Amino acid sequence: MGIRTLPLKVSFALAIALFYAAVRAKAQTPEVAVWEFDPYKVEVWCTFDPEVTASTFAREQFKNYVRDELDRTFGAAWRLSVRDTPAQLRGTIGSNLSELSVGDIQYNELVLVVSKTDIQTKAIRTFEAAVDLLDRIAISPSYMSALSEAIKNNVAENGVAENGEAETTNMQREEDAQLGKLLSKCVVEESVGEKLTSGEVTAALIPRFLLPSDDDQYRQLITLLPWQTESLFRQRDKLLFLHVGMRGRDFTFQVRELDCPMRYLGPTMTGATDEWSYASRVAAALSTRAFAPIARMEDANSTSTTLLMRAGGLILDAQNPAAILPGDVLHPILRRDDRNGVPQLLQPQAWTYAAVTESDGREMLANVYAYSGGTGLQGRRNRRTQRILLRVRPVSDQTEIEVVVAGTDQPQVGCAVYQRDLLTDDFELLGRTDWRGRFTIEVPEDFGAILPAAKRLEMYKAMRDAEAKRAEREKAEREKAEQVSAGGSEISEVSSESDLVDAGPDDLPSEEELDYSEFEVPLNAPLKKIYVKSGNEVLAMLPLVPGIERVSQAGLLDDRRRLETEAFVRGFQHEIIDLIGLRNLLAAQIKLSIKKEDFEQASETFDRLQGLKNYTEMARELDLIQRRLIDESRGEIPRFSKRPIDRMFQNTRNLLQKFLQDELVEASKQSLESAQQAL
Amino acid sequence: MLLGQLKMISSHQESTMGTATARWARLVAIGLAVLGAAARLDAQDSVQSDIVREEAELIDQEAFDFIILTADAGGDKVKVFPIPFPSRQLPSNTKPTDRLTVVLKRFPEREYEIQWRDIDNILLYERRIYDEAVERMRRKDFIGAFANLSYLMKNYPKMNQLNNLRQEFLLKSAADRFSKGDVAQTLSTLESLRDESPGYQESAVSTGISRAADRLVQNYQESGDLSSAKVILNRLEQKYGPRFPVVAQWKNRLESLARAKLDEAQALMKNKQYREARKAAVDMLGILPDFSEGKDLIDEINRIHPMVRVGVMQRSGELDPASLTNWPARRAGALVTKTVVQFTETGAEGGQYKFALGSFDLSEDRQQLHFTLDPGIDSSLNAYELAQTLANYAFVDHRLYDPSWAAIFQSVSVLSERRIVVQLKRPNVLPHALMQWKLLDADGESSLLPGAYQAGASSENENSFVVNGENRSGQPVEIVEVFYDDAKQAVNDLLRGEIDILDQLYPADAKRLAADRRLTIGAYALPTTHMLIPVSDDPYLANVKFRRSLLYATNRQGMLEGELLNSTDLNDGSLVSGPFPSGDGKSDLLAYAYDPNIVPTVYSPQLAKLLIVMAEDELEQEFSRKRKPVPNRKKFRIGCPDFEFARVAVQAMIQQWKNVEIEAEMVILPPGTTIDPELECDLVYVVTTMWEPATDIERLLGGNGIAATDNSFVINGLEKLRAARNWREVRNALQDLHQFVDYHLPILPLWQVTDRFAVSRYVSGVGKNPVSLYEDVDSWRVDLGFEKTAGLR
Repeated sequence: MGIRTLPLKVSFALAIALFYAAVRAKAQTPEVAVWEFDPYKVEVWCTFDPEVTASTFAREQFKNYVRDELDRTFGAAWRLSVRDTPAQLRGTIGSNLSELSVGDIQYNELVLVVSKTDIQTKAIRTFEAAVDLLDRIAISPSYMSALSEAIKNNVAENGVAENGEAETTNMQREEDAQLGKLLSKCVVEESVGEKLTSGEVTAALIPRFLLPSDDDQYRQLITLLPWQTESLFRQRDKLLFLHVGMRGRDFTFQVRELDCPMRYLGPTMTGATDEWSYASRVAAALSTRAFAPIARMEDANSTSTTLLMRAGGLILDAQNPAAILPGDVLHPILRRDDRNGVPQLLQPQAWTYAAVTESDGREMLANVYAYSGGTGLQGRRNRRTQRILLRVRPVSDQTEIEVVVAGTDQPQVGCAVYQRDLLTDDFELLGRTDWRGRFTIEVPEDFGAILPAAKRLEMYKAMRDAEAKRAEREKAEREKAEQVSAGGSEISEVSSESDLVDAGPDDLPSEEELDYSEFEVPLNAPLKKIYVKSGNEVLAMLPLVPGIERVSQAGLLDDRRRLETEAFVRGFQHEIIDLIGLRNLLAAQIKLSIKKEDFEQASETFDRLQGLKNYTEMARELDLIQRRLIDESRGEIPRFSKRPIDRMFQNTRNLLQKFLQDELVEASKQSLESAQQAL
Repeated sequence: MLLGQLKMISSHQESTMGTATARWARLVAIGLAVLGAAARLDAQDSVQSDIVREEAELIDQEAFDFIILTADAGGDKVKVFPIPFPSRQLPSNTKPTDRLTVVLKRFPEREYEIQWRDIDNILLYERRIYDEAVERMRRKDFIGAFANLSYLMKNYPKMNQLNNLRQEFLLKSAADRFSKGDVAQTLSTLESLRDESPGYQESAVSTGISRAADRLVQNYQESGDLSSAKVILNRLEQKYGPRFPVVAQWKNRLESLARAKLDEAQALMKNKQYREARKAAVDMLGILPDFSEGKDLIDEINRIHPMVRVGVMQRSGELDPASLTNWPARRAGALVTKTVVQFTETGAEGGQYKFALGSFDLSEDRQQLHFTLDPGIDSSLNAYELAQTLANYAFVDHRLYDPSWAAIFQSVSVLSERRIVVQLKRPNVLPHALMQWKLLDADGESSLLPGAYQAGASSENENSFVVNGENRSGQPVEIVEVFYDDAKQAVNDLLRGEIDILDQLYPADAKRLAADRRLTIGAYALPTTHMLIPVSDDPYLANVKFRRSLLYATNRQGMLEGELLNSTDLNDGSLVSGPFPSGDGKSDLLAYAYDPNIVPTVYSPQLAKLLIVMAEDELEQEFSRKRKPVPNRKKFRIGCPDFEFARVAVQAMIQQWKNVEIEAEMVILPPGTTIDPELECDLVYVVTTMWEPATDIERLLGGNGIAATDNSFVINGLEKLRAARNWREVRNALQDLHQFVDYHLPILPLWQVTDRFAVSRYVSGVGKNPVSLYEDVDSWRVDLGFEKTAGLR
């Protein structure tokens, strides 16, 4: 059966199998890796659009040049291979590399699924166990052929070393044996998907796109077929997708990185040239930009973290793009594995960044910037839970933050967006979210600087101490001055300015001592601290590096009912202030008129005073407002808003009781009456 | 005591009610302390003014005579109460031993007697005033002399020589005024002298009258005000006869001028410069109304080139028929371009609208807009282009992007070449009201929905609009807007035929002119709402208490009823407490957004002072937290559109704010603009045509509005309005917004005014109550005969 007769999806599996056979043998050997001396294992997949005018020879040369260029650039920090993209992925990568997902890459790959209810299969958790314990594994006829072919090729390839001589390691022998066992247990069935759903089949090897949707009934096992990407992801650190296309007379290039352990796809870097002779340089430069060096978190508190740079021991030059330098900003991703090393959680930590402040080439110190209420980089840490941080790669000049009600797509409109300076802590109002809940954050020309967390704490302590000393000194000066003036002219003659100046502590720190600018670390990426406010309430602090994503969505608490209440209550409080002012003014005017014995004027003013709203009316008005605003027929008030709403009304009611009682009117009335009687 | 009590409350607050409440209490305490201080200051001022008092003018003092004793009697000068001589004439036949009974000013409780032999002289009070008047005339202090003279004429009319003094005063003061260039007063003075004392220095007075009249007429001629010159000459002719030198001389001169104008008009006519020819002809008839040779020329011009000259108080710059805040842009914009959907009148549920290219309707569920293009309407837009345009307004990255529209727009479908349907995201009561867009071509220059006229020539004070295509019989070929910055001048020109329509009138003028049969006075269907909008980021203006103080410091009622409208009629204008028009009662369809329970802020400068202090305290706290010094309060710059009503209002506010120590200055905005960033204004005076509050409030306070607010409460209110699905929700949301504006003052509401206009009876079709002046311009017809043009109607 020729490849042409195979179904498209099956031929893909076969192609992958053939493709990896050559590169896999060495990777199968377990290595004892030391993080800082372990080079990045990087593979570049090249895809050429059919329109690309370069010849086959030129393309091969291009790949060689790219490899050489990257080898020169990264040196010992990378162990690199450059290959053609598997045929079945070329279309996906060529059509829209930016939209590519890990799911797209694995779309056609075979997955072993077992029933969670069947007595024989329900306890099976791993691929190896499944191969050992199962009697039969259903597979469709076309995939059976592909699998057989792939295994055959794999076994054949396992027997060939890189130098072309026959050689088989123990591990490869084990692998071959396991694959043979798998093949022996595979049973061809028609309509495997349907039989799986009906329960007729309890274990099957099916392509990922045919996976049953019912997760409760079936368990997917990590299917480590050597030619599939799941195996590849365990053997490589980075996969770089390099796409070469044509636009008019220009050669266009797109490069996107996949961090294999974290299954994390980075941003797409794009470039173009009209000269093929420049193509490899452009592609290599884009690959360098697409690459994100990583660091492993060793320790962390709420404000800082210690990180270990990957391959740090192999990087001899700070210019090496694999080096992470002070000022670099990193984005953490959390990975949690099960006991079999299968990732159960792969989670980029939203709105959390670390900015490196110190580095000795391997170990680094970094400030942590986490969203309000977030745990930052703290949390459980063990052999199966690790936090890896990737250097950020902004690609555009802005990011829109989209503020929505948590758990929904409802936009939060009109929220104030502030930026807080990372050095001075000054706030700057940037604007407000629009009707979509969006606000655009621009990438500034100057990324600014930060202080290491420890220095920052030290600076604030020094400033607080200085402030306290200054206050103490001023107090002492005042006391001394008071003594001088109380003592009369004789004392003042002997007192001098120096006496006053000498009063109090004299160890105020100098401006230089409070100047921490020498510790500032200029940032290499536009890290910002964004605050989102609704009325007087801060909804969230969101660290952000604009330019990475087009839109970053933040699901925040629904503050609209509380804000509406605040609008009325604060306005009502303004009214109370005005009323108190007017009442007292009129009362004062009445007193003045009585003093001048202008009783007509006094009576007229008293009428105006009486005409003003009194406590009862204001209290009734407040009741009406409250009744309307807490009416849940207009929609339920979120639980977290109820207390602040109640507190606002209670405080306002207290104000009314304290300041708007009717004694003032009564006192004015009595003054007027007694003055008239006295006359 | 009260303050003490409050202080006690303040300290108690901090422990029991939390920081916010305690701070509030402290602010109240500060305010009351200020009130006390202000009262004390007032009292001090009063005492000081009693102490520092200069000696009053003689005529302002209590009357007294002086008796000067002889040297033998001591030579003293004694102040006595006026001695009751008969007719206040000093007796001539007194014996030295006779006694004169007097009451000394120093001892008013008893009488004294003085022998005549001891009296050297008696200076009567009125004589001393007389002498002082003479002396003042000598020193050319005619104002002082006039005061003395007036006093004497009122209190001592029978005094000897008083009439002579008066005649002398009139002649001398006239000569003095003439030398200072005040020729009108000179003429008036000399004429009254001649009328009252025909024989007094006859020759000098006649010469004076002639010279003053000649200079006055010349001044009028030089300033182009020949009608006033003619009035003077006609009066002088009637009074002194045609041979009176100045009359004869000027008659000849005017005839020459009229002939020159006629020649000019004829030449312009030949060059087809009809507008200029008409003006020359009008000027000619203004010089000599019965100049027979001009009549045919005028008729001819009007037959060939019917034209309407519209006097406007605000000159147009940009042209936008849907402008919310720019009256002239809205007025003149309606001439040159249509909007996709146009507001025509108020209705039971929002305004009534018409679709420029046909008809439209809103589905029952308020989620679809159906447009039908009328094949009878000539337009370059077809259904597909219109659909694409509607979609473009919803695309965030498109230059036409309109956030309000994007928020409700879901999709648009073309059902046929004449029908399109817009699907909305959610029900909306007035989606079409958002479509008041003027559509421009890709270059952004030409309108895709042209109006009946197009912009023509423009000069310093005139903008011309020329009819598009063929004009129908009697339809004006050209409409010329003539800009006036003086309302009186505009009214005068209207009356004498220089202009045919005046677009805005003061209520007093409207009432006066209503009796004139030559004119029709109309009122615009809907009032304008005036407001002050803070536009700078000044920290004081950002403080709500400070903004409230501005309102409390402004006597809006007094201003509106006084210098602005001179009327207490609520139909002319009334105060508003929000950005919406209050209408004329609950039954008014326009008033659906206005909550009548929210009363306008009262005038209380004392409370304003208190709020200023509280605002300053808040700012001090705020800046102290930022470790920055509080900026000094600057002199605020108020941007004012260049028309008299606004100028008067702004000037009055500036004066009133001085009383609470808020300094401000007026900055005149360039013609036709509502804001100019280069002028760095802090506030702008804005006149809005808020006729569809449901959508206009977004255009005012929303992200793209002139008063784009930063206030979360108002923004939340706007969002609630946007989400409203039916009229009940819309009204509730609008009335909430009204309340928020009153509470938080993102704008400072002032008043609503019903604007009036005047139309010559020779222009028909204007309508009695249009929404805007050119609403029915297609129906306008002119019958500009000679009589009208000559102002002889």
